[in-house]
Amino acid sequence: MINKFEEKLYNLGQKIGLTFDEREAMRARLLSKIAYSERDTLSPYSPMFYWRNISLYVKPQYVSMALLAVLLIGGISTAAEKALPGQPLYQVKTSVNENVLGLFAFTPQSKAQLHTELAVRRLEEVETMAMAGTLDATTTAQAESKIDSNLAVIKDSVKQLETDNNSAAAVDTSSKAESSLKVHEAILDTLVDGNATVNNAVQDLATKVSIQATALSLDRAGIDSRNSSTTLSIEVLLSQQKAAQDAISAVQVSLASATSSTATTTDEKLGGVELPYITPLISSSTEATSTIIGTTTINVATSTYINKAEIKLQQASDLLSQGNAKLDVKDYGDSFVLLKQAEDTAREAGKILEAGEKTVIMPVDSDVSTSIATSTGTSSSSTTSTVE
Amino acid sequence: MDKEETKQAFIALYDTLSSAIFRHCFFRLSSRERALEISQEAFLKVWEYFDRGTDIKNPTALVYRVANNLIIDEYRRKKMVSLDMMQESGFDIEDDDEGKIMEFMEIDKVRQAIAKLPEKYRQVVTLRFVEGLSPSEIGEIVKRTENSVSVQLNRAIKMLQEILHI
Repeated sequence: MINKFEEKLYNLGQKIGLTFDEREAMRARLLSKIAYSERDTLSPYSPMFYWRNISLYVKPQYVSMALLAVLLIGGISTAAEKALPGQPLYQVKTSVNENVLGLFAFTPQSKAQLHTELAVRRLEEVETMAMAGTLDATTTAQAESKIDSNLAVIKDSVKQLETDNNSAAAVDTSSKAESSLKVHEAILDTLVDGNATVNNAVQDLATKVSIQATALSLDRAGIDSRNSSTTLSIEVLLSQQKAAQDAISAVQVSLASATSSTATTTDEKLGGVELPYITPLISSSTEATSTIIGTTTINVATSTYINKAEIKLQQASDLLSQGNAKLDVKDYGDSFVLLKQAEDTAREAGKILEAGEKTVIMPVDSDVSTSIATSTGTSSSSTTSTVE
Repeated sequence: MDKEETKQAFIALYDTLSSAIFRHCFFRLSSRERALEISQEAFLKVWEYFDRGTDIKNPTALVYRVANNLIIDEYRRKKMVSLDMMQESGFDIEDDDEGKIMEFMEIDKVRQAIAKLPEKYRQVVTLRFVEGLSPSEIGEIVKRTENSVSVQLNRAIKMLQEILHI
């Protein structure tokens, strides 16, 4: 360096760099791209071209017999390692190769490591297929289901390690699983952003992977907290709890304004639909014996939406309760997942209500002739009389 | 070089240069996230050269050149922004450490000062004073002679000092 100013510039500059996660995520994306470009270059004159596309030329039952024959010869497992869902050797990869790996996983730590590897394999398969444009929603859903199973084993193994007073191994195992998930979350996000043909299933998978990574992080923090005197900062968990509560409250308010009525009782039925969430929120001015709604009522279509929204809202409330219960016993990972599900379910209830808001309102009183207004936003012009 | 050797060579290049290329992009752009994206795009484009079997005499220079072209494209689309806006776009500062805050403010000041330089000086300044490359190495990247790069650097450093009031 020539002088102090330039030296200072250089030293300042060196403070900027990639984090470990960023470097690894970028590396993984580049490797995926390289793997995809290698797959692309297979010549149609190459024997492997026909092997890979064998189902185009041979009936499925003969493919199975041929595969069995090759198994006897050997070397099939190596070829199967690169197989993707839908390809003939994929069954060998998952049912044979991966099961063999499982035979050697005796301890909770080795089981967790194996299932981390298996979850990563499923994610890599989704990424490779997404980049090749061959991914579909069914394959993604199957991968998601398998990853759920893998994560369940990982969590059980981590809990077992902590129970066995091996909290260091529990933290390490959880940390490795979390890092692997985060790398692939970053890759999946890139696929969603950059490729117009990737479907919503990949986006859902990316979200799920993100949630599970956070849950593992909280589990790890919980282990640290239980095994030391330090206070755990669970701000992210409390923040999620608040988000779930706010989402549920918002939908309750929306439900209340979805309809208006001048005559209700707690158990009153509107067009045959019970509304336990709405009725306590609507002021009542009716006689106890009154059985029919007053001036404004809900038509069948709107009541259907409200009913569905109510059911969703109840599910959200149940999930919130379960999440709070897990929080009380310091099961932070499961608590986070449940609270996130509570928030998402409440938002779904909100969307159901939005979908029903454009439906027309009609009288429900059986003694009043009814007319159905079919234009959006208009209310029925017929009047209603109260029947005792 | 066979396919596997090509791949290993490329990955080794990435491992060596990833932080440097990111740093270079960061000092010339307004967003950490965008710097990450440009860095990745640069390596992806360089991989295409490797994959085609192109004879690459100076892979380091190639990566920097590709990154620079992407940065110039980015300039055409966006304006430079302040540290506040960088924070909004995800540029995180651990605000419980006053030293770190001062450091990042200085980095941002330098970044904005570099942004005020003419385009022809921005790249050489970043390569020299942020990456510590020599004038001859810079010459390879920007395809100029070592003397020409040295002259540009002298002018650039004077302008930078004026902008930063040093």
